[in-house]
Amino acid sequence: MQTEQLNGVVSKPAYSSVELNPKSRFHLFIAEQNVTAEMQSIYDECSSDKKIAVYNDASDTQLIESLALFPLAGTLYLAGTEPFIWRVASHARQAGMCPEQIRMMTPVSRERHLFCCHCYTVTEGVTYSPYVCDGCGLSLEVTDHFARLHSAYFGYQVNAEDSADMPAKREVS
Amino acid sequence: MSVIDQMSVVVTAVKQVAPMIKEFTLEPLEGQLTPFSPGAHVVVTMAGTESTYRNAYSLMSDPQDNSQYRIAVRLQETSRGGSVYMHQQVEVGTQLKISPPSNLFAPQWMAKKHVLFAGGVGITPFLSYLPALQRQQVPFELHYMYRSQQTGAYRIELTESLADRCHCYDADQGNRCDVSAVMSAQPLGTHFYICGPESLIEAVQTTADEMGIPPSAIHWEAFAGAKPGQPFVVELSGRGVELDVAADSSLLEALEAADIKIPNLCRAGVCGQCVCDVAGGEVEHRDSYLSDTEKQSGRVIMPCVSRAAGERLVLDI
Repeated sequence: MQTEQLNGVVSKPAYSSVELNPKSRFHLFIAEQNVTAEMQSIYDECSSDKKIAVYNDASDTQLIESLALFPLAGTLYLAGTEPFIWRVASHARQAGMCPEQIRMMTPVSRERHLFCCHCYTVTEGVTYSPYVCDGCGLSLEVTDHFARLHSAYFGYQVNAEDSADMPAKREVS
Repeated sequence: MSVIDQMSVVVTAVKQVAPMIKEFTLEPLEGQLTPFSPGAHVVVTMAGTESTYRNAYSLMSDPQDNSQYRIAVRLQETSRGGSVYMHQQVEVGTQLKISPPSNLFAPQWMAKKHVLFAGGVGITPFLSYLPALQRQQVPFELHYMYRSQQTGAYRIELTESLADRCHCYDADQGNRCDVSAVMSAQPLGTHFYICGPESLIEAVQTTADEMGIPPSAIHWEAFAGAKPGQPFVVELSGRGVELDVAADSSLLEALEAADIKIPNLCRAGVCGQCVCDVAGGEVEHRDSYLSDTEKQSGRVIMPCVSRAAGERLVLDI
């Protein structure tokens, strides 16, 4: 996992293609809703001890349970939306996994979770900026500042100085 | 980079804790010492008659105790002077200068379990880990390897206080640690720490690699400082000065002897503070800080441990 500088912010994750970890003794593949073609091909290539799990709306308890018997010499592969893979990764880190044990595939959509710094609500499915906060209704600038612990991007009121000054809508990548 | 002040301490106790190891208790001449983090070390400056020695020693006292520091020094067979000085010249009442503590070997506080491998005098940094790990009530195991005819300090106290969390292996009794058996039985979230000779560090690294244990779960501190080599001449291009570096002196020591201040913390090729630009000559890299690419470029050197590969080196200083 690397980060690259975008809009002057270095915290937006950059994803590269994922490879099988040949040293690993156990491989756990977790996908959100669908096993992607990339994940399927790595899974098929893997000849050692492996397990695959697909979740729809997995609860935190479910995710934590799925990691419970994960061994020290294992590798975790994640596919799905960005908020999902980072949520699983956060549980994995809490369980004691090292960063190189967690391999994330490029998110299947560009939808973001947006954290509102005014009311702390997380708005889901954000694809453009400014975006109206589900909690307080303010128009938020969607930044590229990504919080790994919350799997969400930082948002702040875009027109706080002048309510008439609303920037043009732009897509976020 | 600010210049770090030296602290003056006085030796208040000297104890022979193993055939080749002496323990020194250091107390401040004035004021209090700072608390430190587990795994920290200090650099002790020793004003010998022929040259000044500076060696890094792990602090082995409780990190929360600011009334005194304790260090242990093994007499090295191939000493360049420092350990001999500590063993033969330093006694109760001797005053020494030490650097403030710095730490390149702190525990991973997120770890679910800590497995400590100590070889000989490599037990010292772990002695400052133990009070902290016990306070945190996190699981740990200590695997202590030594030769009782030379080292093996504190093994009786450790066995008594840690009971089955301390495993001792006396090579002089033919007891060996089965590193792979120890490592294979560990749960997710275990971090491994090694302080000891290069061979022990390599054994743990190789085992981890074979077992698929992630590299970032392995932490080590080699206590080998600068080793001697061939004498050479260093030219400082910015100053138009040439210095001789003797066989048993490091490049950093030669620069310091000429009153050229180079920031440094570990004096063992680990911390990266003393990096210097090379303007000419081949380098024999001995550090574990620079990347392979940087080493191949031949444009930087860690003068604390690395030397000229030929008779001459030009530094951009």
